[in-house]
Amino acid sequence: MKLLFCAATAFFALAAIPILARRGEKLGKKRAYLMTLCSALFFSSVFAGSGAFFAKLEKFLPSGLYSAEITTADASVALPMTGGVVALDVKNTGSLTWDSEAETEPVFLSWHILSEKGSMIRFENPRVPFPHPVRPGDSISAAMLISPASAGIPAGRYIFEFDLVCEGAAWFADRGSAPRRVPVEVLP
Amino acid sequence: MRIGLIFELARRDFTERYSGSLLGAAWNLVMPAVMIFIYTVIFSRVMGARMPGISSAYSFGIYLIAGVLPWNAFANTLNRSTGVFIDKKHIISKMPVSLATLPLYIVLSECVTLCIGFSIYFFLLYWIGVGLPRFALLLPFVIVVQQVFAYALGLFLATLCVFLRDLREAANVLTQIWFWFTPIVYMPSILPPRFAGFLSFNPAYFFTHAYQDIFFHNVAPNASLLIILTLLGHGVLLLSLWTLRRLEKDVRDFI
Repeated sequence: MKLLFCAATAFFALAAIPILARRGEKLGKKRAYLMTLCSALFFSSVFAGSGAFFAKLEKFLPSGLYSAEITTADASVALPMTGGVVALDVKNTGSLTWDSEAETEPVFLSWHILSEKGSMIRFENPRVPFPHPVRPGDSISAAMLISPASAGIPAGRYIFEFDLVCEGAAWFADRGSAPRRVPVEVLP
Repeated sequence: MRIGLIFELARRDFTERYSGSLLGAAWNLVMPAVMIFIYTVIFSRVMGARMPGISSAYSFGIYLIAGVLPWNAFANTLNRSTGVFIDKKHIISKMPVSLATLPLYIVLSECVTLCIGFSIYFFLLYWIGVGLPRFALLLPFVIVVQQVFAYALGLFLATLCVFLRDLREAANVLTQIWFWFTPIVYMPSILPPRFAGFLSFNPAYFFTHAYQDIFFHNVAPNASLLIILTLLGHGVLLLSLWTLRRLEKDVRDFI
C-alpha cells in the first residue's frame, strides 16, 4: 500500500513537471516555484517508497555468489564461561563452492558478538573450517565450539551473529546474505 | 531560455576542457580511471589500508571511491556555478538568457563526468568480484538530488558573487574544509561522540552516506536522510530562485 501511494504520488509529480514547463505560461513567474515543488514531491516519494520496492524486487533476483541459509535448532543458547557448542545447519544458497582449504579466499564459519541491545562488542572471532567443500545447493551441519572466556566477555546476555566469511573477499552479510542471530546467555 | 543552448554549453564544456591536448576528450576517461586505480591498487594493495571489520583487501578503496567521486561532482558544480555569471558575462550581455537556468550546463557536464567515473567503478567492482550493488537502481535519483542541492547552492552564491567577487575563492576554501568535515576518507564511527552529532547538520554527509551504503555496505540507503536532502535541496532552490528574481535587474546591470 505504501509502495502504491508513493508510486502514484511520484507519477503525478513527475507528470506535472513537463506540463508546467511547456504549458505553464499563464502561471508566469510562479511556474519555476511549482516545478521545484513537484520535483521535491517526486524525489521524496521515490525515496520513501524505495525500501518497499526493493523488498519486493529482491524476491525475483537470483541469489548472489555469497549466499547462505543458517538455521539453529535452539531459539536461544546458554554457554558456560569455559566454553560450549552451538549447533548450526548451513545451506549453500549461492553460486560459490565453500572450500576452507582453498589457497586463496577460503570460506569459514564465524560469528560476531553483540550486546543485548545489538551494538557490536567483538567483531573478529575464530574461524571454523568446513570438513569438506560445500557445493551450491548442499547443506552441512556444523558444531561451533565457542569459549566466552577466550573472547574476553563477562557473564551476561548477548547476541551472537553467525555468518560466513570468504577471507580476503567479504563477509557474506555484506553481500546480502542473512546472518543468523542467536540470543546467548553466558553463565558465570 | 532554449534547452538546446544548455546542452550545447554542456557539450562544449565537456569536450573543450582538454582542447589542444593530444588525447582531447579522452582525458575525461583517463583522469577518473587513474584516480580509481590509485585508490584501489595503491591505497588498498600497496599501502594495505583496510576498513575495520571488513576482510576484503579492496575495502578501503571501495569506500573511498564511493565518497570521492560524488563529492568531486558536487564540489566542482558548486565552485564553478558560483562564478558562472561572471565567466559567461559575454553570453549574458549579448543574448536573452535566463540566469536561473544558465548554471545547468555545469550541472550536466559534471553529471556526465560522474557517470563516467561510476562506469569505471562498476567495471572495477565486477573485476575484483564484488559484483553490482543491489541498490544500484537508486543511483540516478541520488545523483539528481545531490546535483539539485549543488545547483541550488551554486545559484544562490552566483547571484551574490556578482556583488561580492571574493565569494568565488571563499567557496573554494569552504568546500575544502567541508570535505574534511564529511566522512569520505574516514568512517563516521571513528568520530568522537560529541562530534558525531554534528553529522546530522551536514547535507554532504546525507548523499555521501547514501553512496557508501549502496557501494560499500551493499544495503538500502537511509530513506529519511535522502528525503531530508531532497527537501533541503529544493528549499534552497526556492530561496535561490526568489533571491535571483529580486536581484536579477541589478545582476544584469553589474555584469
